[in-house]
Amino acid sequence: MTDKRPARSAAATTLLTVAVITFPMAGNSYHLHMVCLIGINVISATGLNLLTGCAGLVSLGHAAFMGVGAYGVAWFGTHLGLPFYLCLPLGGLLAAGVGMIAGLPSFRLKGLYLAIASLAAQFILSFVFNEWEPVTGGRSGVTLAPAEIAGLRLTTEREMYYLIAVITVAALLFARNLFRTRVGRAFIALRDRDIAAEVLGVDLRRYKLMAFGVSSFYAGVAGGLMAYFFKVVAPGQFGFQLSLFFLAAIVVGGLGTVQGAVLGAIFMTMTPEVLSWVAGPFGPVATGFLAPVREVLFGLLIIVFLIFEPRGLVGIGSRVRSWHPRSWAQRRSR
Amino acid sequence: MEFFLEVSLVGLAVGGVYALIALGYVIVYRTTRVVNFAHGNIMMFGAYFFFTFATLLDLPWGVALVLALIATALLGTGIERVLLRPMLGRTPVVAVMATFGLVFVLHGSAQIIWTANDFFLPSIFPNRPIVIGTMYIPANTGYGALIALVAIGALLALLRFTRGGLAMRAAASDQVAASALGINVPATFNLTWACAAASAALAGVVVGSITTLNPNLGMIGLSVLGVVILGGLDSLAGAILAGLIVGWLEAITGFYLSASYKDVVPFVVLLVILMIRPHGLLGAPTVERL
Amino acid sequence: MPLANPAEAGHGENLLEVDNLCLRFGGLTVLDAVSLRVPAGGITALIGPNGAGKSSLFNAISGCYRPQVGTITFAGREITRLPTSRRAALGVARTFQNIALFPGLTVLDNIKLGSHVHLHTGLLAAGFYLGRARREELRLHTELERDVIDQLGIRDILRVPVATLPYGQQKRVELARALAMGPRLLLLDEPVAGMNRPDRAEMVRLIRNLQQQRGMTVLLVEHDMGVVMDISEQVIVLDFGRVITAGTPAAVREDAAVIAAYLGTEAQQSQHGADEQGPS
Repeated sequence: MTDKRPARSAAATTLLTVAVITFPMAGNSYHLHMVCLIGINVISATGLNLLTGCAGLVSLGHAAFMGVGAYGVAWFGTHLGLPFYLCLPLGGLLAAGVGMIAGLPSFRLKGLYLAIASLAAQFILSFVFNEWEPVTGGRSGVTLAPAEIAGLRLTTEREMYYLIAVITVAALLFARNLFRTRVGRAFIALRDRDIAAEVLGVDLRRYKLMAFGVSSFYAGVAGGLMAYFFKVVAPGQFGFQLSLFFLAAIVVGGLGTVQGAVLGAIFMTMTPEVLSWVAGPFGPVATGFLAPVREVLFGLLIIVFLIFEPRGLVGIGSRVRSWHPRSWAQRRSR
Repeated sequence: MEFFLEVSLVGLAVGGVYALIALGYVIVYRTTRVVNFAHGNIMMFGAYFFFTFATLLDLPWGVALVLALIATALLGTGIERVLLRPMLGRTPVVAVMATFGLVFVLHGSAQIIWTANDFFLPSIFPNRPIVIGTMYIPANTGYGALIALVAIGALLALLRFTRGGLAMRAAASDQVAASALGINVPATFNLTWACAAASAALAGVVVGSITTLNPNLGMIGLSVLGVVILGGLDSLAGAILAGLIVGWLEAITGFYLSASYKDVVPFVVLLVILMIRPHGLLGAPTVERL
Repeated sequence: MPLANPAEAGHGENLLEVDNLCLRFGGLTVLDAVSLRVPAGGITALIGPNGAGKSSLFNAISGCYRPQVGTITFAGREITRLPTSRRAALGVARTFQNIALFPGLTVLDNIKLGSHVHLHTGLLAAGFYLGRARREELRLHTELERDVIDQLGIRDILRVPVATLPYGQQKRVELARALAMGPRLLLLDEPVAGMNRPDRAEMVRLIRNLQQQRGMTVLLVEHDMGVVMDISEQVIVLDFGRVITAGTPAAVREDAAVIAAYLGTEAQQSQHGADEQGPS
């Protein structure tokens, strides 16, 4: 621990804060749109990374929990007439509740069997989104009114930007703090050696449920923000593909680290955009191939990272700076 | 009752095809401890290879089928060599994650090579439906099930009676001991992937004949993965049994409830079974000893 | 069958009592009607050839294995069916034969995890990390430095990932983690195995200190007879899942059954070679 670090990190924090606040003045609405999406994806990826990267419980149903949050937010707002600042946390809590129920099989199942159980949750929830028309609006989905805080309607990207930025930062801080305390330590312990953790007094069931709950809360809030951002919720948004997207994000970014989820979400959100900038000049034929090329690229990235750099982008970053990587758990706890 | 029997029969026929697909997963898992999430997409490639040889190159369908099986087996070998070999010795979960990557790669490549349009496979089955008494089974489903049954029999015989099959079983029970006995474990893994891929190709042709051919054909692999878990990841008999059960359940729920329930019922059943038997119907429980 | 006699061991009360414990895996009987007494405040050693069931007994006491028959009583309370994690809260701590540290955590966090049951921070408090949660972490840190870290001389390696540590230090960290649990009963599974002479002497001194200065009760499994005879007040000999004798080191050394069974198997073992390892 060098003495330079606190000063350096204070400087970095200030710089980042200024950048976050002033960004809307510099960026156009496309930039803002992308940054909002990145923020939402960062929140969701952080949630998945808590569950899968830290607690070691692989989930193939993360997108479905986002869906629960999104539909929940829409329903609380439209049918109960609740204000936005209640809808969003309630949506998160609803997702957390559903996530904990989906996490119950983890009491008996491990590894791949558990992963498939979460896949089952994904398909069952997708089915509910499609079929429970009075609540979800069926295949065509539901629309919702824009978020409103103290009479201010958040309709434009710029207004949403500040909301999303604040929640993203809060979500990241919360996740980082977990790993300064016994809760985060228990997550890592149950991932690394569950039996030894139990001998040390960690109640495995409790912490597994907690991991599912927190993770789905993050997903639910991200889903709720997505609902307010697009002002429409439809079942197609929350399919299995999206679950894979987030799994890819944390693998590419770095499993089990805060920075990993952030880098992964940025990377996965921006790659298709960069691709379309590249393909743009080559005309409509090239842009027609965009979607499949993007898929192939995603796939190759996952594979390449798994083979050559299992620590993900975080690992690459630390190699470049030849500085020892610190996972959440290894952060200084004071 | 009449309807029930007919629907059941059709369901079991579909279940036979599921069983063939499920066996592909189980063969790979037993030998290499990797669940290949891209199995459905390899299947989809098999169907496209057949389409390419039979329709685009206009070869007789028998020749096209053999060529498609060989091509897909080569694809399987290639995947094992390039993707899985570098991960030997690391935890299998990493390799499983890599197969997620493979899902994206294969699905995207298929769209680039063959576009996202629907195609019809040349019909290889007689056009007349199979009629048993007053019951009626659509030709493609019925003959497809027959092909699947023959293929399952051939696969089981291969595992049971050939040297390669013996090596696969040896590697399945203990990799270290197997290599100490002079079994070339990497070569065995390679052979395993080739066999699984070839069986997937056959299943792909059958499924493609029943429905149409497009890059989403592989999605069926995910439902079948539920079948595999239901039977028990490491159990050949479990895969076949669960395949039949799920095929039957889908048909029954599709007929008596609505088609949209078809996709979700197997997963509900799966969850219930897993809570009662955490290793599936016939899977070997792992006794945890410290 | 000779049982450990509390009066003989010279202490008033038993902290741990095991009665008629049977443990089977399928057809394999690992523990066969094992009964023993561990007097409070003493050091008891459990010896026996490989595969005698020593580690299995540890696993049953700490709750990793569920015995089919018999009872385990800790501090007057029956814990045979108590969930594993609850036993830690009662004051049962252990180390593992193959060192079970958490590779994803630093040395410090491994040790802090030992104090898990004594902390109260919940999910929300942890995430906001204000007031109580923060104070609790800071207090834990000072306490651990004072009571555990400095005693074991591991202050220099606190920030290091455990996987990079040499074997001897890993053993020490694992002991530190067990001490952080503030245990009443310390189960040590081969505490000096694989250690060089100075490390071994240091570990023996530590264990003795724990008993004498903190009044901790120690039950240890060890193959090093020098160490066993040196520090323990009671020695229990296990063979083929049965207790064949128990008593003071001097008495056990003279016991004909022990010499026959124990040394007999030992000799047999050396014929089999070094690769023979019993279930642990």
